[in-house]
Amino acid sequence: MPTADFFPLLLAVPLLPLGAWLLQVLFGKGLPRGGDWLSTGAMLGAFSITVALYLRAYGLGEEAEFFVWSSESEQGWKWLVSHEGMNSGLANFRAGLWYDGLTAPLLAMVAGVSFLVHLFSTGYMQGNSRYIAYFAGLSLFSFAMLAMLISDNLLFVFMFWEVMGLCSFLLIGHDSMDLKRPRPRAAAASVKAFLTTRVGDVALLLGLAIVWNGFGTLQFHELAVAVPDMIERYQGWPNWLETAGLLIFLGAVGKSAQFPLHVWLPDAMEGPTPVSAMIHAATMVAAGVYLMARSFPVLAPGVLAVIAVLGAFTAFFAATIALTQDDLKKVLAYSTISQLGYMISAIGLGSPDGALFHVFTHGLFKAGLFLGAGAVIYACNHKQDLRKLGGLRGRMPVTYVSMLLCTAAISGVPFLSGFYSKDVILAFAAQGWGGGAGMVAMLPLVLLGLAAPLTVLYMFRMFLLTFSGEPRSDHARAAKEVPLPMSLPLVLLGFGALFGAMLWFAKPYPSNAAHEVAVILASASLALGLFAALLFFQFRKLDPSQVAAALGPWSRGARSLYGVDGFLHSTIVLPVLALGRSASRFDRRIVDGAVHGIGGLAVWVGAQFRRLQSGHIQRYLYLTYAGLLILILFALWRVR
Amino acid sequence: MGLEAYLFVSLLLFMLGLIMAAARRSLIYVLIGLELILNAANLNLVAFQRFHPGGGLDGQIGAVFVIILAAAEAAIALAIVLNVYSRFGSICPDDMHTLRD
Repeated sequence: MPTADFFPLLLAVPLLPLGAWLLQVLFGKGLPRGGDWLSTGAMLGAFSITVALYLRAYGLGEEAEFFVWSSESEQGWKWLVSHEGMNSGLANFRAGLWYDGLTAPLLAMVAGVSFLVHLFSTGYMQGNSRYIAYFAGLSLFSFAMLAMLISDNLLFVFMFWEVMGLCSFLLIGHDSMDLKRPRPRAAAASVKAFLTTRVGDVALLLGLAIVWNGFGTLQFHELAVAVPDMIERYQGWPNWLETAGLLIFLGAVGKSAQFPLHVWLPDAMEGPTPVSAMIHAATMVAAGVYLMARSFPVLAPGVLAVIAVLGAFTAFFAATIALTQDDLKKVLAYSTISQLGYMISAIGLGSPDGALFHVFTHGLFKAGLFLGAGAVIYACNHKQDLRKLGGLRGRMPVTYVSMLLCTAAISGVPFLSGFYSKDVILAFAAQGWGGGAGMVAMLPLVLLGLAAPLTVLYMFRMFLLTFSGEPRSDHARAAKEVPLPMSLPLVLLGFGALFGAMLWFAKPYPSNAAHEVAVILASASLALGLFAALLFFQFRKLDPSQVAAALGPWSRGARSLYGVDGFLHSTIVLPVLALGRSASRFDRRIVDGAVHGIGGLAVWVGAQFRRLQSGHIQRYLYLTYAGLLILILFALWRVR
Repeated sequence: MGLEAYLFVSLLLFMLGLIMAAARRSLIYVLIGLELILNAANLNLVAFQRFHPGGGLDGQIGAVFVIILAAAEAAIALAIVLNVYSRFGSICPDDMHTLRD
């Protein structure tokens, strides 16, 4: 099956955007239009290659779910080669390419969404004072995600993961250095995103170190073999392996914005809207789920239980917050956190395939939603408060239809992409993990089941407040449909939301009984959520503020984000700052003090000796006599 | 008179020379002090020659060399003193302390 001619093509997928980035950084100012065509074209090229590869994989028919093309045997690169082999302490580290039934659609989706975001940005970012830097950052971001998807070992995944952290920092803070209207809040948000994910990254690195120490390899397929051997040898899961799994999961908690490290994602809305689409759909947050799916073999059952419950809790928790947000992009941000909760929970429930399936479909419709939101914001002169929008249906028909399809997909309307992927996750939740039963095993199902109707409710709330009714501000009244480079991606992503599920190879359902529970649950959630949303926001039979008042403290809690930000601020940020300040004092007083003290001592001794050099010749003469006298006395003493 | 008497006079001259060179307030006297030191050495050389006659005329020749050296030194030193006077307007060694940090 593997063919040598195939790998250069695969390697070209990340190298194209990398080349575009390099050219743009070096020569961007000299290129016409700041070279946006260069990075957009490179992404189109990468996308074409991924589609060609995808079709080739699709041509395998029945085998398509299971095939693996790895460069391991033929073109793996040797790193840290030790001639003494494994026993020398420095094992051979090989890196190669990996392309299988999970990579194929994901790679095509990421490249496609990245391309559409690039295309959309050529319209959205028009006239931005740092246009070149923006496109360069976008290209590097795409490069990192694509390269991560074709890496065959966890170390490379980690490296590109870090590159993505840097790119998200640069792009979220893009507007903070805008020459016309600098936004300091964007700078704060980018720092927050960087530091929050860094917490997870440190844990991840520790986890990888433990895995490397235990197995001497970080290759996916070698780990999949080595871990069961290890368990057999230890008669169970060794503690260090459970710790490693938990640490790796912490990395994903940071990157994929799970409770309690989700706080950076809503703040990241300070970045330009296409960047949000990029972070939320194709790159960054998807990386966390991808990492968990690839490191699935090293996750112990106890760790899986933690993952399943934490993911499900995040899904529910974020959904309740999304209901209370008035900012168009913030609603979408919390919806992403909630959907990521579904994916992470799917990992914990033992279905990495299902998690990546949801990454795939979610990538399509969430990119559509964010680009749609970008179009709305663009048309309404950068107003994104839901209370100021409304009535855009007739004014922006293309955006309206695209957003409707994407909203329906995320809500799980049958036969749209989101329905299938969420169905898989709910089915696994209905099965409980590890075949276990009891209250705790059903906890993910309960939380995910509660989150499902909330998803429908907050998505349609956002949708109806934006598009239906009467415009509630002059900006909304003056809105016009966006130009072609921006509307074309919306149309394509609308199609993606419709048919995306068909493009995924593996559709791994558990037992039929669990599947039936999931379908019933999803349909009931949809009906309930849609009914409530129409009642509240379309026909206005009920006043949402009365319901909020009836819920009292809960509604207030959700509106204040349950105080997580404040809690983290007072328990972590402030102590860390205090620690930093005292460390700085220690450095200035003790460390610097010692250095300055030694220097001062030398200066003082020198000053004492300087006084001998008075310039009076006769004093020198006296000193010479004194020296002579000492010599004579010494000579006499020696003679005696 | 024995050797000790000559050596005593030589020591006296030497000490006087040292004190003059270090204590006088005029460069001329400092030079004279140096001459005294040299002549104390001359006296030593000649006296040792006289009381230990094995070495021929070595002592006398040494003394002649020292006298020539002293003449040359005095010529140069007086020239320096003239220059010092034209520069500082004084030949008191205490006034010449510009060679310092």
